[in-house]
Amino acid sequence: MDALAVNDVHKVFKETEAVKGITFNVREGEIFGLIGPNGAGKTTTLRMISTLLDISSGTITVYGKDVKTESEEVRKMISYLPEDAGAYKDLTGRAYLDFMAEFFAQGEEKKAMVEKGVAIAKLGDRIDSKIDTYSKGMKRRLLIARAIMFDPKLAIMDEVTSGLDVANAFEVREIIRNIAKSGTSVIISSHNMFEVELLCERVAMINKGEIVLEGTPKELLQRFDAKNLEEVFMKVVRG
Amino acid sequence: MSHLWNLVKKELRELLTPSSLISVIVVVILFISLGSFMGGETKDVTSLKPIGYVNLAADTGGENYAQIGIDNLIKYYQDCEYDPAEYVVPLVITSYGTDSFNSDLYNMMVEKDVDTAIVIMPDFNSNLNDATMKRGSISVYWNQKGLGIFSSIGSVTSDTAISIMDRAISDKILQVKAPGMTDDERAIALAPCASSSYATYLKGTIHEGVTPDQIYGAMSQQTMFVPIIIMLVIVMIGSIVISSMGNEKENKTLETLLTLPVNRTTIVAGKLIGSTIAGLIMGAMYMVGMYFYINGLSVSGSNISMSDLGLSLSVMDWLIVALFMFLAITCALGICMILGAMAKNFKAAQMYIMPISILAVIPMFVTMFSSIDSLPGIAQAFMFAIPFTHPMTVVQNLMFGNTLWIVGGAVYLVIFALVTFYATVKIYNSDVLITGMSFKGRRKRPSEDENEDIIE
Repeated sequence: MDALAVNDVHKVFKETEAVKGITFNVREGEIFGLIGPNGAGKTTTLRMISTLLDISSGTITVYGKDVKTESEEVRKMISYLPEDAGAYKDLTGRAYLDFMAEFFAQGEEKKAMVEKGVAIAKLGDRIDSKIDTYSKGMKRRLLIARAIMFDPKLAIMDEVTSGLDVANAFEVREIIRNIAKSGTSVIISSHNMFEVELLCERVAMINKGEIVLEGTPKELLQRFDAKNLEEVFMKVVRG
Repeated sequence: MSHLWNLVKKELRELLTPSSLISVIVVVILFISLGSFMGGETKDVTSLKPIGYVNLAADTGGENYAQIGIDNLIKYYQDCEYDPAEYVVPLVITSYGTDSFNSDLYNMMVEKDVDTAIVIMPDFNSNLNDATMKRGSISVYWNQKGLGIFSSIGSVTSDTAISIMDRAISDKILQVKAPGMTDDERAIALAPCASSSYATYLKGTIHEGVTPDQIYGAMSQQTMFVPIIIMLVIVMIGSIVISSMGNEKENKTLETLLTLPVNRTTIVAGKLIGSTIAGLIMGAMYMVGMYFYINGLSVSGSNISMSDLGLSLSVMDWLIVALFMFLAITCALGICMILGAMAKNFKAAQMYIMPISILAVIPMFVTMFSSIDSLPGIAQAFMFAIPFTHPMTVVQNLMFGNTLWIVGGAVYLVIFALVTFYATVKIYNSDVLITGMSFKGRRKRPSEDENEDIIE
């Protein structure tokens, strides 16, 4: 069974069609990249998968559950990390993880979940400092820990390393590889083609609301005789 | 239930932060200090003030009317339990008729610490003793020290002094000019009209010896205190909730929250309950501060109690007041959550505080300066439609037994709260919460920038 199946999905905002009939799937335990320029419709697609936005037409299923009609079931399996997401600044890192864990477990199970989150975040003593005092990289690590500490079946991450320095971005990519190894399927969006090439097993290119290309990075590089995905993308867009 | 409690705790942690509580505590302390300051000032205004006098009236051999007047003034202060040596101060100035008189008088007033002085003119006694009787003249001088409402001296002290002197002098004149009159006849001649009794009807019940001013004084806490508190709580909690919504959207914490395995109704209920508790805590804190402030302002001097007037509230009445407060805060939060949901970010959220403030200020001013009953029908309907009118008027309505307004108000508030709750849940289930709402007006084709803003 596919972890995620997006089938002929459209999204219309008033007079604007933001997503125009896209179709793709994410396999179990796979890291899938959705790439494209700003305003292409990547975030809108991820928000529809995450049950945040209504689907105008088409279907999205997560492990066979329909996002539109079984949204509560879907939310039990997914974890969404928005681009530039923040956390409640008056809480400490640990209190934030504890607040989030409460929605998934109780008692000892919750404690274990929080400890797992603390270990993923790797913030040391600073886990007990207020989030307001964290750097961008620390905040991002905490949010990733929050997103994966409960072992979601599908992790949805929007521009996951956006704004991070090299070391922090490297660490974040390592975390994503590790969760995929442990069985979580991951869909990430990015306009950083280099990162996607490094991380993803398969990618879909989206432009002006349409999927223009899909395949493994290796296949795409061969098909377009390009050195990197950036070159592939430019060739596709320019025709 | 545990999800709801988790969300309520989160809301409380966010709303009742040290910074938000400190700002409320500072305002409360300010109110308390302002109240005690106002209390001192208003007490000062209503108490008798020292008065200085310069008696230039020559003793012409007839009656010494100037001295009769001064003696009566001293007696009046004594009767009012003020030390006349301190309050009726003789100012000895010998420079009358010279250029230095004014400055000498001023220096003497400063030296003796009196703000009002009367100068009884040299011809005072001769004018009154003359066969062709003329009025005795008195000049009044004030030393203005401040420009505040309560620091203005006014003419009360001199007017009071002159009327007290008048009375004694008139009595003496009648003794001299109409020697046949008895003491009682002279008293009647001096005050031929007397208000034998007075009474005020309240809720159809007559209250003997009570004036409307005294009733207003006794009720001033309800007419001023309750509306101000409710207005403050609504504006404050509204501003906190809308800003917090704006922040949640800007930081995308709301997006995270909405993708958790918890239904939207629980999220909305958690936000509402948490914010209502925070609102009630802050409201109670404001109430303490405002109580001291209003008490400081109260100058009615009325010793009439609300129970004397049949206006006291029972425990059940106070529970109804608390229920109205709770419902009003819930309605306010419902409106705020709808407005906050429409805002795209923190900056936009600030703009949405205005409508809720206006809705809170209108009934506050109407109930403080007028009454809903005195408004024309359409205006009454408008006031009824504003949910915050009902908690502001509930105390008066309970006192005056306006059952229709109480029952109607309670039903209206419950319906209003449910409708706003339902609308909020609907919005939480719609795209508006994520995309926000633009009021730029409908155009056929959105611009490129707007497109990019919606489609990410």
